[in-house]
Amino acid sequence: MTNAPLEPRSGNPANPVRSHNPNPFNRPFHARLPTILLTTESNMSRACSTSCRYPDSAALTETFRVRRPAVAILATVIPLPAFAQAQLLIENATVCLDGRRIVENADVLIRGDRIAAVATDLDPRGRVTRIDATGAFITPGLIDAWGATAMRTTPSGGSPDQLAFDAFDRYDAEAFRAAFAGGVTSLYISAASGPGIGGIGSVVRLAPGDGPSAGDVLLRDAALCIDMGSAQSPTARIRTFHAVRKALKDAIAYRDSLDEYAHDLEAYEKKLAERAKANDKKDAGKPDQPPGAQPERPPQPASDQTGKKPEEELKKPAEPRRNRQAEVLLRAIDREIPVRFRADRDADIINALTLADEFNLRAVIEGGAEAHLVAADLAERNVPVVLDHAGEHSRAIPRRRADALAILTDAGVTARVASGDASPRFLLRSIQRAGSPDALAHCTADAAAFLNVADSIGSLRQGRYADLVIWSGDPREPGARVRRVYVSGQLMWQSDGEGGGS
Amino acid sequence: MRRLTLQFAAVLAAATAAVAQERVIIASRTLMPDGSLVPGKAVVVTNGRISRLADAAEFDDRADVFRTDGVLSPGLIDCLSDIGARGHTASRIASVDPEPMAHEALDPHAQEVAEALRQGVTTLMLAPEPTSLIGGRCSVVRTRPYPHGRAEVLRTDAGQTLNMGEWAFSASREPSSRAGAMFMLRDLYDRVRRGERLPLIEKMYAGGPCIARCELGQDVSAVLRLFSGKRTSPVIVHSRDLVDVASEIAAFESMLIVGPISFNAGRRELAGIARAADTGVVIGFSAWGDPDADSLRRTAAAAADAGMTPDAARRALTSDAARIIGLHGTLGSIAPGQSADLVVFSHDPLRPDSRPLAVWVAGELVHAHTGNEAEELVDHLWNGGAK
Repeated sequence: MTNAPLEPRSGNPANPVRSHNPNPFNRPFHARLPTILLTTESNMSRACSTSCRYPDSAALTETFRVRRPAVAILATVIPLPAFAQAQLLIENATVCLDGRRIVENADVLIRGDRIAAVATDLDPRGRVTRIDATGAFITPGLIDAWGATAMRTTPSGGSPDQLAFDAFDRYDAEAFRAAFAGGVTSLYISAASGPGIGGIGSVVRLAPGDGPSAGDVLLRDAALCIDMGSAQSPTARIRTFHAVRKALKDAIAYRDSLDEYAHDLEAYEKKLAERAKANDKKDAGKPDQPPGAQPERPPQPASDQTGKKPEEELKKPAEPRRNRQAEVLLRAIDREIPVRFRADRDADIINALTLADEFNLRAVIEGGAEAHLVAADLAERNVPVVLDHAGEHSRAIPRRRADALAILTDAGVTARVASGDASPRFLLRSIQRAGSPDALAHCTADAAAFLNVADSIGSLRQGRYADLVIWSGDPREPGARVRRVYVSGQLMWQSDGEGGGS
Repeated sequence: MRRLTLQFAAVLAAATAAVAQERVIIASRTLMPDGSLVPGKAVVVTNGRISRLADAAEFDDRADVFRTDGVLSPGLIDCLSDIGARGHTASRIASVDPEPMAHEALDPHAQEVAEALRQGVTTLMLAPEPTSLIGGRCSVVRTRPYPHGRAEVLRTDAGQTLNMGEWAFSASREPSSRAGAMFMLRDLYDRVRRGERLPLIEKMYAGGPCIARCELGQDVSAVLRLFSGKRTSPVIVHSRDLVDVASEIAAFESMLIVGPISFNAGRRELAGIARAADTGVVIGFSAWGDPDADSLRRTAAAAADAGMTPDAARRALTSDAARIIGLHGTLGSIAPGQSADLVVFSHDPLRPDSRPLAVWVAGELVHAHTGNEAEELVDHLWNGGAK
């Protein structure tokens, strides 16, 4: 049994590990094999000396152990599914499964990019990279129910068929770092970038990988984004309301025209078929006619050769021009996707609710600096609110309140706290400050449920993405710091104090 | 006559009892002068002062003790504030205007003063706005309501303000630039040395307290150089470039005021605060210009997350802040002899979800949060615990 640290600490700890990953276990199995079996003396001593540089007992140390070398070698010949993926075991930590349930002294086993198990005293077979996390606290990666991390926003205004994800800069390492420093690994990004209909918002993971796979879209069509223009002048806000209303009405008109077309087309085809049938009967005596050509025969616009009375002219109905914008709006009108109204002032929130009532939309209020003033209206319609508690833009609104979350919750409104336009660095702190009784659940399991992605993220359960954060202690307590962030089972970030190299 | 004498005696006895009454508060944890939170402490308050700090066990069989699950902290201190005096404290015309005292502009009835008190901020150092190069003096005031509409001023000459930054420069008068500002400051020093009568400037250069607000890191360096070799170092007010100048501040043994830090602060600013804390500089926090009532504690929470130790962050809210405002022996710590400016928080004051439950100033209960625990608390303190 070999017991040697294999992973030499290298690279800049402040950089998300992306382009070059020093951990051989993150590469496909066959590519890793030579490294594993040919771990040289010098390699091992180098690794040892590296870890010796950090005598702090609290520092995480990684060791690699081949538990059953024979099995490991066998696995190279016959790749079994269990062995085909890299295994990472984070040991002896306090693990918070979903923001509420906390397991002391537990191990988290990651296989590939997924959570394989969370339990005490796990002892998986095969090759395992072990991380001793004694004293540390592990949570699922935090989820920001509305963020702007790595968003390169378009200039003011948008179109319903624009995608927020297209403005997401997956190479913005600085923005990724700020998110990881706050323990955030996933967020909802909005497409609203000015008054009016902005486009489709998405849920993204700050996932690893080279090139296009980095920044994983978890849910591309998460919501239709409409900005009610709370930051604008009153005239502009009125104009926005009417423009949005008109666009929704036009979408319905578009569907009506499509329905009409479908109806007309059906009638046309019916008539066509009838006529073809009639012609068939007429032409029945002519044996020379090839069969099969007849149904395709176009209707004769002019009088028949027989010299009979000309038939009524059959005109194919014109297909309406495809309107992609309207198609998106129709998905919202059909309640297929929710509509996120960005509205801070009470009047704008009421306007948003008016639109939701009129078009039967699944409304969500985003911003909501004055939502507490219209809490009863929101509760009555069961419309949730996403507050941006640290956001700078809503600070200009005088009637916002620090205890808005409590007021809304007491009124029966589902209220979420997110970072909004602010940095996600203090997401958890903002949620605590807003007075959420379950701050951790608020930005893990509850946020995942709210964004409709609970089957992929937000809890440390088998099969979920291995997106997790190792904190120096309970993150709810002051001074707790993010030590490491794993996304899809890969180390994305570690704090400077981790001794992660130069 | 006899009846009257009896009545008088009764009143006297009651008054004496009230004055000498010992009140005991036992919180689940108590914030010590070193910034740590220690369980099992009893704080004994007599005549508006903390008379002693005892073991909680000593009071096990006493019923007239207030016990709480919260955390007992000294009243928080905002080291540089414009609360209650926004927009009224400085000239925009004169570049050297050392006379005004900030408390004279204070409106003690301002909503935000009461709000600060409810948030546990019992003491403020009010500073003039930074619109003059040398611009007025800071005053230390309490936030509690005071009779006759006056502010309760603890210190009137808490620091001469020196403002290095765009705020103090103007196109229409001197100085219009950093270079011009430095020229003026050196010129003032020379004039004082030549015997010109500029008492406040003389005092500032001769070791009087000085609060230097610096916009950029280079302003910090310039101010420190200006005072090098003189009898004192100014208190530096700066947050932006501490990554670069923290060690310089430490080398000059200056004290430092940072903040407000928002939850939207950048990585560089946060890293700078961590670095300053690492150097061991005495740090206090400021909520200058911040509209949030809990700004001071939010700043402390952000600093602790950035890497300042929680103990140091708690000191920066209390005892270290008292050092900066020059009242270290009087308030800011839970220690015998200190003014009983106390706050019970629901949790560690650094936790953003912690709420102030009760606030005392000089032993007087000035705010109690509505809620069961606080009501019980009011009962204990106003009725002496004798139900």
